[in-house]
Amino acid sequence: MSEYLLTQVINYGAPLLWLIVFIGGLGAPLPCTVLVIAAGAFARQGILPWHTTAFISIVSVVSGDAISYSLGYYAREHVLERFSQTPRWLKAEEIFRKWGPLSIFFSRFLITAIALPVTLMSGTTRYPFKKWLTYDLAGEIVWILGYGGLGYLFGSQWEVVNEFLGNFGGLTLGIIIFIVGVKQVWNWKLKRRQLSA
Amino acid sequence: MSPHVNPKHRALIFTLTILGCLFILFFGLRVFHAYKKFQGHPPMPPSPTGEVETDVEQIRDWMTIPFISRMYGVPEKILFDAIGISPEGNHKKSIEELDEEYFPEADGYIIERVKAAILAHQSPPMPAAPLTPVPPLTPDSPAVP
Repeated sequence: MSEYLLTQVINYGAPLLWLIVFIGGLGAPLPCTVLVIAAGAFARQGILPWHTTAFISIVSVVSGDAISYSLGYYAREHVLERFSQTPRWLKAEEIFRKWGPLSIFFSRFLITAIALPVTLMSGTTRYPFKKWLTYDLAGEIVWILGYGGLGYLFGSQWEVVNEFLGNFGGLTLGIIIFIVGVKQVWNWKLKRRQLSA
Repeated sequence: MSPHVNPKHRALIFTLTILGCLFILFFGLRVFHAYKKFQGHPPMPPSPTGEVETDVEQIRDWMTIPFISRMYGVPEKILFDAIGISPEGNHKKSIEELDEEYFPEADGYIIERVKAAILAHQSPPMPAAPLTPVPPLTPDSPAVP
């Protein structure tokens, strides 16, 4: 898939990249990070104009994200019909209010596997749009300019950057899952001690 | 564990924790290997003569002939001539597609031909001037005019 898309990006240029990152923003599982890093290398080779490519890519991906947010926003009623006022839902809303900004920001570029659930959750919990947009935009700027910039810096050796960043995202996700699990087990132990005391 | 904990919830948390460990192990090893590779490839300095690549090992199956031509500064015609294919209708096809269409029985034929054509076209490096040994200066050495 990524090889096919790379061929098409060198054939059709920046407009295709904008379309791909827009669809990626909607939540389609496309290898967008690979393309962004490669686009940086292509910009260095003079195949893509880096400034317009970067600017319109940011606009495209934020537009895609905003549509995903609105899907969550308007699906709220359906979600509430199912979970309304259940302790689990209230807890999820509370957690999201606490961790929302960090999860919105980091899921844009580092842990992209959870980007869509986080965006939908933002809409469903009616996370304030302006705040959401600020963190989303900041994360996407890091993604496009940071990752694309690394592609530009490393030129034809961009695959090394892609391999490192792809695996680093997986490692970060693993660390977060592990910490959440250990924290939960720790809380149970504390409760048990309090009950037995 | 506490008797108040839902067994399903408990199983989910244990599964997540184990999954987290597996992720850390799997991606940690991959990050380590990628980092070692990463260290071996410092960022490329900007080239004053334009971005012309010289390492033919960077050629991949997804690249097209016009892209390779631009990347290596070799005219398209030379590359198409080297693989014996007409440029017409083949500009947007990747090496993999060209291989499947024209040389399905010879795997990797085009990429090897393209590499050879680029190496033949790029000017060979200038031979280094032979080093002439210079005798060390001693107080008895005659003064150089």
